[in-house]
Amino acid sequence: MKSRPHVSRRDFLKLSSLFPLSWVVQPFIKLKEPQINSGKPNIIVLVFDAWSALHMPLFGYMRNTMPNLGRFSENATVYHNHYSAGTFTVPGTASLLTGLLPWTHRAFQLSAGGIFHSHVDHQIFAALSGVRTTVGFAQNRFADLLLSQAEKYVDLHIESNRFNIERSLLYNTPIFKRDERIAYSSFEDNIFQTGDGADSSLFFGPLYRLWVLFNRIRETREYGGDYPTGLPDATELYRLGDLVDGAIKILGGLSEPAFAYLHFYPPHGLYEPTAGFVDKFKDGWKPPEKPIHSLAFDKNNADYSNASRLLYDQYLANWDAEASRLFDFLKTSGLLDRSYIFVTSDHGELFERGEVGHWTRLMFDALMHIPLIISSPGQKKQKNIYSLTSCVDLLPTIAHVAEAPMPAWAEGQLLPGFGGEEDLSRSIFTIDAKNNPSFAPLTKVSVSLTKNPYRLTYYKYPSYGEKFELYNISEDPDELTDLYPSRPAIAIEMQAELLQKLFEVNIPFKG
Amino acid sequence: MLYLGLGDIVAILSYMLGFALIESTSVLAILILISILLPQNWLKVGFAYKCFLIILVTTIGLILFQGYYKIGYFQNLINHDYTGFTPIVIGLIMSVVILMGLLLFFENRLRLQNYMTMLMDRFSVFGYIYIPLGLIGILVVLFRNIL
Repeated sequence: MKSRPHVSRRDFLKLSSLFPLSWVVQPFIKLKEPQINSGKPNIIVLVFDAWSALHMPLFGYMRNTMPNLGRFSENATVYHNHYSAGTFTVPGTASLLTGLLPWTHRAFQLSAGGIFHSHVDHQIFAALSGVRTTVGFAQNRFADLLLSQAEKYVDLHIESNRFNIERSLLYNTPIFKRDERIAYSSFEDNIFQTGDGADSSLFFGPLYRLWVLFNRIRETREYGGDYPTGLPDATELYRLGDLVDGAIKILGGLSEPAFAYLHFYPPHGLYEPTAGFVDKFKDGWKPPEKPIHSLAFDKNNADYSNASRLLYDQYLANWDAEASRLFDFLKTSGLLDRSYIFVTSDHGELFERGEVGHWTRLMFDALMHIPLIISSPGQKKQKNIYSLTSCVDLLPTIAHVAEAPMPAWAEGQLLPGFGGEEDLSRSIFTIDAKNNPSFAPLTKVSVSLTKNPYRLTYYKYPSYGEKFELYNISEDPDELTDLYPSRPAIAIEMQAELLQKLFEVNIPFKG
Repeated sequence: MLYLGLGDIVAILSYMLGFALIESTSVLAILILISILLPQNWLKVGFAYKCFLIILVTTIGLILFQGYYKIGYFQNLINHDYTGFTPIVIGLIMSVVILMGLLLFFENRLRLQNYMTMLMDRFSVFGYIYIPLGLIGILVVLFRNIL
């Protein structure tokens, strides 16, 4: 007689030990089970951090930094005058995700404060929730904090360090998964300091730093062979190839129709090209020298700026070569034919007037002028748009192509080519208020108003006073001649518009 | 803190208080463990005043030299930049010398030891505030992340 399969108490206890494992592998299972399209297109947003349009041959740069992206753009819509609303990750990304300008969403500091409570539900993930499967990945920890604010609308939120080699950020550990933003602010800003400032943990702080250091030494020895100047660093060390592999894995596992937001750290500094790119572009070319700005944090000389620019270009070319595998995958997997693919950035990068990078109060074209390339399903030729557009336009446009209800809160417009009209008289604002409290009127601020063909920039800081600069960006793209004193009629008109707007946004915060 | 809401600030405070309690308890546990392992006269006899001196000197030393044990500093050492090396070595040697000096100075002075114990008794009143707040902090952190 055959006995029935018997599960003893011991067997049950053994099996029950696997229950926690099911919780751990859940996100991987989600990635591994692609579902086939229901006819609606996917929407994929690829953000390359700190990526200036002025460093791309597509927009007139003399170095061929991104040939592969250039090929991708041959069958896409290219926006030649697209601007970010902020000058670093927090305001730039928050504007992209909310369709709101920084003075509305108030995420304009390098902190875990994030988007204002009243706008937490005003996000792209909320707009597409229920319409598409939503997937979010941001390698930049500050962008990741914004994703965690939208957590309830993100079906699959992939942690920022999933594809990094190093795993040292405590807030990213699974135990704090439900409280990432506050855990981040507690650990990274207060208990341990990853940057400048004192740890409040006097005893564990040094031990934590030593542990991070020893791990970095080991990881650099083990994985850094191809990176002569060191592994790329997004607070944690990573390799460009791993990042692309990870992105391919995410996109290959999408439950379609999907909305996927993938925010890559490169070409954000430190610029660490691989051995194959460290000798690229040694052409001796020097851009026009620009005077050191009185408001610049640093006063780097032209040689240093040009050397940094060269490194950035090499790193950009390196990233383009790696990212080409991602574009190839989009093509071979068929995703290109059934998806809208948005390729853009959160802000640019500056190598002039004493500043290198984007941690600055200055507002010049290289810092705000970002690429926007949109590939529509089955698009077979390039389309060029030259009118001014802003990153806040992405949210309404994405909602439009997803056939989702148009978000009433959005401050942007539909992009030309996707339901919108070319508006030649449009005003584009970029705001930097990193030193201004979120709950107070903007009194320490840089605001730029770009309106064809001029740009008026307003600097207001207690220790600096007030200053306006006016440039004709069409005739003087290098912004070398300040027209503010010589064109009073235009200056007064734009100044009135800018100050009126600033007055309006400050009203709710006046005591 | 001008960019965080009240709830966020309370939550961050909970993390900090909870972590501080865990850190303090761990440091105490390490000292107890050392006192068990070492010969009785070294640390176990006069445990309270000796540990007070150890914690005092270590804390002051760590505050003064916090700027030197940053990751960047250690990375400079790896890159053979030794400009910041001398201050941290001097600081370390000074801390050990001062600690040894204090321990020797207190060793046969019972009255000083008693004063030290009295001082600690007075300080311990803060424990009645700090320990419950730390425990509440840990509970808040657990509640926000697990429950």
